Amino acid sequence: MLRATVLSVATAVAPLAALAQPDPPPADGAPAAAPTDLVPPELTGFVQAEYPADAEAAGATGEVVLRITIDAEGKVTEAAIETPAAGAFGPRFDQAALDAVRLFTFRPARVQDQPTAVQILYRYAFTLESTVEVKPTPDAQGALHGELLERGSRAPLGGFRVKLPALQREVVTDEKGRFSFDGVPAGPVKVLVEAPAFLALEDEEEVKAGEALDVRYYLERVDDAEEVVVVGRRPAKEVARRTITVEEIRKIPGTNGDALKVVQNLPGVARVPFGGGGLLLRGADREDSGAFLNRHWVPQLFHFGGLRSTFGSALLESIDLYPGNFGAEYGLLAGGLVEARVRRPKDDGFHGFAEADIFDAGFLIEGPLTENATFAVAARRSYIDALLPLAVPDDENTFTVAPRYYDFQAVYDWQKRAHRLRAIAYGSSDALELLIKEPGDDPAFRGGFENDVSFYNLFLAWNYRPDPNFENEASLTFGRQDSRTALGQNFLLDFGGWQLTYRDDVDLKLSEALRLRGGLDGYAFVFDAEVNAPQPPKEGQPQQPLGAQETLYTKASVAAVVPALWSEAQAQLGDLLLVPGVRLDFFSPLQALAVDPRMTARYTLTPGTVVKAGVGRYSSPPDVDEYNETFGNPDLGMQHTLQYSAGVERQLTDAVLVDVVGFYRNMTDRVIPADDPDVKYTNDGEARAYGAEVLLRHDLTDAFFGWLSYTLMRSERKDGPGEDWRLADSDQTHILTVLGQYKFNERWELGVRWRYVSGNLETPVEGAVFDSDGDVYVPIYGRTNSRRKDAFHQLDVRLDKHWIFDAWVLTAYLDVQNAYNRENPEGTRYNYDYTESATLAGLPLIPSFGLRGEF
Amino acid sequence: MRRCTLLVKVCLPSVLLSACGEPFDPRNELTRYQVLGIVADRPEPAPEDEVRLSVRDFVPAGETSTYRWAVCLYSYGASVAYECVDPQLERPLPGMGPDVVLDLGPDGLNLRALYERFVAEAGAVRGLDGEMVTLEDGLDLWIKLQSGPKGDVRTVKKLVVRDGGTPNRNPTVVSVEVGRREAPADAPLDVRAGTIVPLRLTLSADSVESYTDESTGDTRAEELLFTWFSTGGTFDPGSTYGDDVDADLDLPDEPGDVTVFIAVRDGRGGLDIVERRLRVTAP
Repeated sequence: MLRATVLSVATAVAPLAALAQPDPPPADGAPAAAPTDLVPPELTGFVQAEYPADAEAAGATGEVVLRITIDAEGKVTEAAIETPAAGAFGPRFDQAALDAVRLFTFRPARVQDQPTAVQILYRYAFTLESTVEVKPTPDAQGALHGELLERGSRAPLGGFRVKLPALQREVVTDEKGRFSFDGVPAGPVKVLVEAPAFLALEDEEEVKAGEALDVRYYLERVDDAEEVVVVGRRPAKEVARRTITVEEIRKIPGTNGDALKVVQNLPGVARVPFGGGGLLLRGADREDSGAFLNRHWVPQLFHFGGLRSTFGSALLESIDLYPGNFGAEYGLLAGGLVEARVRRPKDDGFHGFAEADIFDAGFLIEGPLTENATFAVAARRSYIDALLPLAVPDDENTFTVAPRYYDFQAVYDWQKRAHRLRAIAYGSSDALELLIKEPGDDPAFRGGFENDVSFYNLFLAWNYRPDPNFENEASLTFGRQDSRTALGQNFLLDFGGWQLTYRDDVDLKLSEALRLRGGLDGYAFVFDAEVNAPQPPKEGQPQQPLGAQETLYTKASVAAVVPALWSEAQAQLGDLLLVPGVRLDFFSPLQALAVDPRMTARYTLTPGTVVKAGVGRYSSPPDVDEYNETFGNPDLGMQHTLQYSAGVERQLTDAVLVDVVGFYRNMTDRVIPADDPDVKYTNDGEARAYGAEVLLRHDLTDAFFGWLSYTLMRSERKDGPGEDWRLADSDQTHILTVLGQYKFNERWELGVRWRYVSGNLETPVEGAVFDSDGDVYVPIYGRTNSRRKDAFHQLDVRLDKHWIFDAWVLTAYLDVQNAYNRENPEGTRYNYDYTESATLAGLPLIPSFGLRGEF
Repeated sequence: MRRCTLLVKVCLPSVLLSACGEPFDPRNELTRYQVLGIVADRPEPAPEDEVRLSVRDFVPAGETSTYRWAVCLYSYGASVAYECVDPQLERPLPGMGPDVVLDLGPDGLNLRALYERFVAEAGAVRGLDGEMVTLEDGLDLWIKLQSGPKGDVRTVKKLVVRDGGTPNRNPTVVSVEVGRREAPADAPLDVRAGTIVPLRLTLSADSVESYTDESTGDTRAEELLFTWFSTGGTFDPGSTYGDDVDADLDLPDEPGDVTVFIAVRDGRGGLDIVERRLRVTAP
């Protein structure tokens, strides 16, 4: 006799919840990385599906996988069939399951104790269970205990059915993937595990009387149907915040999985020549934008100016790009910013990876320390210094210290009830030294060249959230920075010191319609500096030979405290969200107080369509050399920028979004070199940039993600009162990026990226003067940035191959940059007296091979 | 929060520029008109001194060069292509040849009086670091030359006029050895075609002077820079510095006359340029 039962299993609770993404971008972004501190939704109101009578009569069974959207209150707002039931009765099972889950209620999912909307996958199984009781003989019984893990990742598979067909018994694994059969007759027993999206597993075990047999099964995933969950979206308040997940970061061609380089593919971000690092956002200068890690300023973004980010991407949760009009919580920047968030290390066992490519090798280990604490340790080191002697004979090797870099990160994350403590130690070091045996056309480049740059930081944060309506996070980063660049007797830039950044952010939800945020932040530093160098070239100023320039010298200790206060309200007025804010920065080196009001607004026109606008004032200090007594003008004031942006975003489908934003920014009091070298710098300059950005984006779903990003832009500078506007160094009229990544199956992935960017601007050389003392020709330049090189375009391709073993996955990839070997003009090079010239081409086709073993 | 990015802006582009692409014809192979340097017999004259200025240049056979000299009393230097701050501060120097004399004294430029008048009118003369400049500190004058067959090759040299102190002096090349033989200054030395001959300089004992770095206050020894030129063959390396007073000349395969020039600079305006003739004979 058979008894009809409905076995319902929330498959997302264990394996999927870990991948759920409750903290993704607004509608203008892609899914964020899965936070590991997610508390999955808990089913509190279960509704039994009705077993279709005809199916029961026919002895038919079925299984349906549904995608359920649960809002922040735990209500099911949407349910859809993800994997329909098979067979003739499939549609009946589908409908019965749909009818049931729509009535479910949940305790909402939470991140850092804050309710959040998520989507989960839910498996509803319709089975006919035998009512024949199997009465084992007690003295001939054993037990079968085990755990079910995903092959490769070793992620526990909870909610899966493990069957002993011969005994007509089955159990469901718990959230840690564990299962247990007691009272199993001694002897061979067949075990069967079947689940959608996984290869069926069938095995035979030998159960001995009076003994418990422990087994571990690995299920191999056959497609990604359940791996990626598009989830509820964090309420957006900005005009443009664009998020990239770690999964995406790792797969974008031409970036070698480097998080900050991936950002360069988004709208509003200009291309950096030679594939270098740096952030050129919406026509602002490089110094106008910054990068933050857990809201704290990062002293050095890249190794060797652009080779790799100094913080490994594997520990990041996601990266947000704010190309402009960011909120009041950040200050002293005139452009935009990038904010990276470090994720909580995994707590479902020990995981990690080791990887190597042409530049470096690194590893990561993470896992639980205690019930409430997790940890991660990662490090990376280049090995150019080890390989160089093999490739270059000793007598030709001019390196006294071959180029090398390393970085490390150690994360401790403790969380219990309302409290969360985090400690992150991270650091980076670059070094190279070489002997320039033969001076070139600029003889000042001779002697020993030395470049040592390092920083070591400790980040501490205490987050307190006693209830969903209040949160306070106090954090600081304390560390040391050292940088030394020396070139014989002709150039020295040496500084080192201690730096503290701190902030305390409060988030108070007064009602559903009003939320207040605010806090204090700032930084303090004590530095010793010794500099013997010419004045550095500024925006629009072409490079002059070192040997022809007067050097200036200073040796000083500098200290400063730069505090700030900020406040912001988020008022939801029906479909309109208003976010007014204000920020006060006191820049003590100039004794300058800046009061910057900012405002953004978002109006939901129709479901999925939002119009948005922002305006704000952004004050920024001069560069440190510009207000230095020797190199600059200590009487300078702050620079002030007004930023405006407006746009519309439309969610075309669950996965496809289009976002169009227009922007205008105008900087006044811009610091520019003075005609009179006694004054050196004045606040008489002006800058403006305007344009439009388009993003058409397909979120990371089953097998594909990609986007089309286009920026139309003009960036101009005015070098003093009465001067005409001229194009800025960062002006790139057209910036187009098309990229996509397709997952053929669990083993093969292919990614492509194609970019088209207007050519670089340059200032033409119109002649030269021979400096007899410096033995060098000094170019005479024409009108600043009056010539544009041919356009840049390049195709990058990346192919990933995975080998999946029981307990680990091996990945090999080939990343080919500049696949059709385009000779992109990056600049112009000249002969010794500037009477001949040739195009300086960019990087040629570069294949890069890498290996990664992950467990 | 902002950091000076001198490394990226100054060093890296230069490394990239010098490392990429097909090389141009090297400067050391003299095939067209080129100024090798302007030698002042007193690189740091006193305000009442006379200074003899001589341009050493390579003029290809069959061509002639014109010379037009001037002195600029105040310029911001390389950043303004050595233009004078005020055209009235630029004075032509008498003479149309490769050698001229600049008289700084009362019968000539009368620099001291000019300086005092300027200070009286403007309050002070200031250097690029904004500090007041006195004659004791040293006043920069810019010697400007336009030369060449078309008269369009521009050269500048800075004279530091200093009242008192120990003036810098030019380094002096005592002898040039070519393949362990001293090359005479007034006659060619025979060398065999297609061979590589080492050249070695001997300098006077006082060529390397000690001086006080005005910025740091440190006492330093001059680091000499040697630039090796030839009208035939190739020097390797083309320039050396410090104690590296040797270079190899890869001689042409064909017989003929080759002239080598070696410029020695002390980095403070001191300069000596020597010339030797080689007769390349058949092997």
